[in-house]
Amino acid sequence: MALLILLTVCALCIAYAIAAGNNFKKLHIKIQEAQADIEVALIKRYDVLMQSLDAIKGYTEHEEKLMLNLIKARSGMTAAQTQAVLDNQEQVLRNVRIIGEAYPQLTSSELYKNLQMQITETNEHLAASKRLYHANVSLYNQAIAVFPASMIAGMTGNRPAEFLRDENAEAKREIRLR
Amino acid sequence: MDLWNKDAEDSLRKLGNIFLTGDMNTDFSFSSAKDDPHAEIKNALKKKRLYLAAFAFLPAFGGIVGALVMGILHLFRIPVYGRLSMTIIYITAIFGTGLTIRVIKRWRGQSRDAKAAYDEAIMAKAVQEMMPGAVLEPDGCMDGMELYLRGVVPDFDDFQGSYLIRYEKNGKACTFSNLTLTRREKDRNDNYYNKAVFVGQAYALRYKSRMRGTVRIMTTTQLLGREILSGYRKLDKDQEEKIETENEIFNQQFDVYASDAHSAFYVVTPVVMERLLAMKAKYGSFGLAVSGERIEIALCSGYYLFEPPESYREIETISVEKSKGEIQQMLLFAQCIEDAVNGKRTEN
Repeated sequence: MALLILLTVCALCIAYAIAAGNNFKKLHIKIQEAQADIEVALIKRYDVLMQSLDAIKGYTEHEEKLMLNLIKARSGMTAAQTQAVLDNQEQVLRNVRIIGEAYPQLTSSELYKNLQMQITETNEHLAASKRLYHANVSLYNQAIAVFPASMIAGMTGNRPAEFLRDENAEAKREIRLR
Repeated sequence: MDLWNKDAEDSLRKLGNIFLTGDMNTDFSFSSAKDDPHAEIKNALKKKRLYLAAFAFLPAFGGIVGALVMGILHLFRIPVYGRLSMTIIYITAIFGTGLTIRVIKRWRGQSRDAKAAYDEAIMAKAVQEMMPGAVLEPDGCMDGMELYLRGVVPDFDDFQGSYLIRYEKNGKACTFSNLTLTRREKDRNDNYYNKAVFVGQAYALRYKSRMRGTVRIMTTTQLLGREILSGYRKLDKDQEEKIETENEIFNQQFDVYASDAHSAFYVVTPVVMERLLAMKAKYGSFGLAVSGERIEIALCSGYYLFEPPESYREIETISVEKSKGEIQQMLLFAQCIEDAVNGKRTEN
């Protein structure tokens, strides 16, 4: 009888461990999907930024430098690399806007307006992807942190996922306040 | 004696006022065509109230007639169960039934005529002034089944509504109507009854968007601490998934279902969440579906907009301006929804 109870308890523990492990995997896949979403948006924005740089060619000598500084977005990046590309694109975007403000002829051209609209659109998709990524990371981190799932997470090598950290957030906030 | 007569007269007048105007201190009177351009409509609606009061008085009137007949029978020593008395009772009953039917018929006819006059002189004018080119169908309504399939209203067996308005905004077709959805349910004794599961307004709007997926947002219904969909259409998991946003307060007050998580996060931005929470606090529960350029909203307000008033006090205030105010209210809500869904744009 005692053996039967022991076996039942063991079976239940194993079933729980399998269920928890599967849940972690599902959540991890969701994080990967969200990250892929961000990458797609970044690649799209990279393309649009390249077109923008082409459009402003001839208006400024800084253009060459801007283009060289733009890091190519690709799929399969780590969170840190994604963050680096994000920050880099933000910087180039700001530069493009500054140049646009300095050349009214440029800003009034249809091509420039169209590219700005595309940038706005990709920014919206990027913002949605980032929020989705953070929501999924939050769910995953919560799932592996609570007891007794935390034990299974420790045994199966599930580590907390990284949030995207916007290093320039404070600087952006200051600019907005100004 | 004189004082008693005055008191009795005053009491009778107050009693009549309660039946006719709903307020014992307000005397019933017809509007004068001299002072009021809408006197005809107001008087038609007031007549409707007169018939309603007459209908309420009929049982009392029947009782008085019955008592008189019995008194006369007794006075002339005619046996109550005799042939003559039974004939008199039957004639009285037939006369009473005929009178009741006539009052009901007149009341229905009066209601129909008053509403037609109100729609033509007040509503049609207000709609044209507020939304030039809009089409008003006073007896039309939006298709409840279509709204159910879009997932913004709960399951129902029958639907009806009023004041279907088709208008254009920024070159895009929009629709509005009042809507009531009823479901046949069984009571404890296994008798069927019609339960209103939705009373309010439905909107179909179009806005500029490049969105591809479908997102449904509904005010959350909780039963014993558990979220339930309370009759809303539920799709298979491979077609639609429940989305948990990063905002806990929003998650507690709204259910979000979407064809994919990205679409949900694209539509439900922090600004949109804030605005939807504010709208829930102001207007009450609603269901909202966004897909592509389409937005469908069903606002469960519990009342109808634009209907001709029933109460005497409100009849007195009928005017095109008042109806225009109601149309303004309707357009404001539509704008609120559009702004809320477009929140991501104003955010930048």
